Amino acid sequence: MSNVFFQCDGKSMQAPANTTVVEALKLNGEIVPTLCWSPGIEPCLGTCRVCTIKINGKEAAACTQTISENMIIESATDEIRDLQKAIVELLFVEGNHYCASCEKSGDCELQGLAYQMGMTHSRFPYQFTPYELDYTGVHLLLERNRCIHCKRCTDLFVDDKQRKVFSFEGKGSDTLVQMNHKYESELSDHKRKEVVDLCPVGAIIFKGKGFDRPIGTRKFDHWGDKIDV
Amino acid sequence: MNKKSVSKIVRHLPRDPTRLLDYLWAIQRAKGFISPLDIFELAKLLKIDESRIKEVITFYHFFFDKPHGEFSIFLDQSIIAKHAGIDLIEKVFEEALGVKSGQMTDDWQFGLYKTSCIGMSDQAPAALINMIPFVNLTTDKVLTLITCLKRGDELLKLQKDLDCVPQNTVHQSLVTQDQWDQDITSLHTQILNPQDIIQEIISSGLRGRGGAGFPTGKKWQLCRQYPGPRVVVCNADEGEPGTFKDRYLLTEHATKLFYGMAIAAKAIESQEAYLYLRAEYTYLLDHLHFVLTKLQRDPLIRQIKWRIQLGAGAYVVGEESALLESLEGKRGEPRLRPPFPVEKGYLGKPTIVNNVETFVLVSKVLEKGFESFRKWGTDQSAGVRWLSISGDVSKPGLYEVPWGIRLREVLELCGAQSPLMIQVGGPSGECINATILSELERKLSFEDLPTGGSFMVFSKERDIFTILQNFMQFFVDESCGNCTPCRAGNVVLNNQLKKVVDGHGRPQDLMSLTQWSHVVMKTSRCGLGMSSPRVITTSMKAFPEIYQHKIDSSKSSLIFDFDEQKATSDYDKIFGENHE
Ligand SMILES: Cc1cc2nc3c(=O)[nH]c(=O)nc-3n(C[C@H](O)[C@H](O)[C@H](O)COP(=O)(O)O)c2cc1C
Ligand code: SF4
Ligand code: FES
Repeated sequence: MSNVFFQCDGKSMQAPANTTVVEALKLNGEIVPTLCWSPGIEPCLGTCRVCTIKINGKEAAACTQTISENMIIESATDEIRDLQKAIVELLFVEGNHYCASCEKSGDCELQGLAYQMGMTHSRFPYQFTPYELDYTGVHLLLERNRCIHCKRCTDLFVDDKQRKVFSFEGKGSDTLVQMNHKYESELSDHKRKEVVDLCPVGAIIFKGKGFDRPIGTRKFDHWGDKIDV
Repeated sequence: MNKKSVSKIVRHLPRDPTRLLDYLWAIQRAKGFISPLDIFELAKLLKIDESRIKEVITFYHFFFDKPHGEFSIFLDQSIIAKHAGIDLIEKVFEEALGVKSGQMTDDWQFGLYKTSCIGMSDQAPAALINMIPFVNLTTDKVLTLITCLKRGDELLKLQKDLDCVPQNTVHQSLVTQDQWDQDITSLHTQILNPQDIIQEIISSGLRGRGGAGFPTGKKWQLCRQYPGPRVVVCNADEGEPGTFKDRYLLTEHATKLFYGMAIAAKAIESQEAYLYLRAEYTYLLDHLHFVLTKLQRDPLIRQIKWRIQLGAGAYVVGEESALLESLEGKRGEPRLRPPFPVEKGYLGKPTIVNNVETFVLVSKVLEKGFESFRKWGTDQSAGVRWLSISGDVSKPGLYEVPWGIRLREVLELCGAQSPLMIQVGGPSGECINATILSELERKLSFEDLPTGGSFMVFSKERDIFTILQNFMQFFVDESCGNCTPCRAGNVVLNNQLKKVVDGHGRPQDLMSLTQWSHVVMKTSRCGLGMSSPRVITTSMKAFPEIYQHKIDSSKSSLIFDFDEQKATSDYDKIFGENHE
């Protein structure tokens, strides 16, 4: 496939046509933070908005846009970095995220991103909204306090019979993820693992199991090593 | 309760999940609400998951999975209704029925609920009872109404007897109302071919009347680039608080509307046309079907497959891609763009979505020729537009004005009473300080002050913050919840505004209001979150002093006067601790 040429933060870059802006930038060594999207997520969901950048002077979610010839992109500017960080901070005040006691700590994409962005606190007041926990599943626990409404589980996950197990109910800030208990009880081993790994945070976790991997071997344990503090 | 089986109730509907809203309405009408058993049966019938149905029921305001009263009363919560006394009306309902709002009477006869603007701001305060609008409510009317309903009187009869039937009061009409002097049935014979139609519309300079003002002819041309079958959709969701001009056009000019849609269908060579009608206008459904049936004599109308889709209550569905989702029987969450509807719209087909007024004007342009349309308006904003004027004016109602009209002129037309603030284009529009004379010289136009038709005037008696908080609450209630900044951000903004209004703000809180507004506007997925913070940003610009007034700048950002004992008193009470 032929390459397209574009600019990012004043640098000329190129990438194959039809790649998303996130991937096009990555190919050129420019990392855009993402949360609802990660490599392999297809189609993109565009729900979290953490990947907001500027394309031709206008804000857009990088995971939802396709690169095209002569695009002018702003990505690593202070303004854009601050917008991206603000969204992560919003997620922290909307839910109840207690990393210290979370089974997903170290493997959590939200936590990893927060560390990477150097987030020490949220600029927004914490909401302390109580969310109901669904412990009635056979295999899985639904910890809604940690849900970031990314829609990976509702839109991208089906069981072995192609049935949707998770769905959204309600609207606006009352939107809650729900689990189909019948289908959940019939989930195969590998499907359970698939959805636990698909959830970027600790909202869908194995029942009766605590921490999965020892410290030092978790997904983000060595992530920060390269970052200057 | 009705014991009829679901399959019997929905017998008349095609087995098609995209018609889910119709199914749910049919069941709810027959049974009062949609029970778990109904959901189970319906899921089986349509061969879909129950969760798919629950997702939809819980998204829309007017679907209930629990009983909500034989008579369900929805009180309009728009700021205009508030100013007209809807809170008092609520109190009277509450006392007479012995329930609080949000509840149902013990005998299940009455349910009392709140809802966003129902499009009756020219006749406030108003309520929907079993989806029938009751306007110009008074405490006396409410008391009579309840007595008569308990006695078994008909709702429609009461609506008439109590003088609560919605009226359309037109104070000025320039184009729309003038005689439709053409023989309608011959209109299509002069329509030469699709390209000519599009050229005529482009020459007229017509831009969409739903708010964004996209050039209509260009939209149609874009759509034609994509291979058919193509689809025409009319957006009659009219959800912006303070708007009701589409209600009027649907009532009085449905013929022109359907012709406008048929002309569009001809222009993009489409055989499918849909009208998406907001649930609040359910009372217009029969009338629209009647008009459409009457028009079937005309081949131009007949060759199209028509459907009128009733919504179920959700402001965000007015956003065109959310509207298409809803039309497909799903939750009304906006889609990602690209692809735009002109490329992939209803069921993936290239689709044009236009506002009611846009289509009505299309008929007029074709009838009168583009020159006669262009003679009105400004360079970038051709023609005329309808305004829905409400609030503190002596003549609330409908006004057709040329684009480019100055605010001062509009205020004169409607008889504004010592105006303090004008909200142009609804809560998502712009807040104007009406005491600044130069502001009143501004023009309604895409160049300066665009509007989707809502025009609310507030007098000096009104408290601006009450108005702004009502607007922010509206957006909190109506956010679809799909994207982070709008779902979480509007809640945060609303709370921060409250903090300032309650007098707890520090100087830096004003700064954060501005900065956080910027975050929500710049990162949201659709126009709702992109414009909701304008409630704050435009009012801060128009009335900086009222914000400053709320801030005690003598106080430092450190809270030296923090009262620890008071702050922890709840804890102390619960655990019986005493630090004294
Ligand atoms: C949150 C939101 C609500 C909207 N509500 C309406 C509406 O009620 N009616 C309408 O015609 N357009 C509404 N729009 C604009 C539509 O998305 C779309 O631009 C319009 O229907 C296109 O028609 P037009 O070009 O004829 O204006 C809304 C947009 C947003 C973002
Ligand atoms: S901005 Fe986001 S949450 Fe708000 S209505 Fe649009 S898609 Fe939904
Ligand atoms: S990663 Fe792009 S919107 Fe979430």
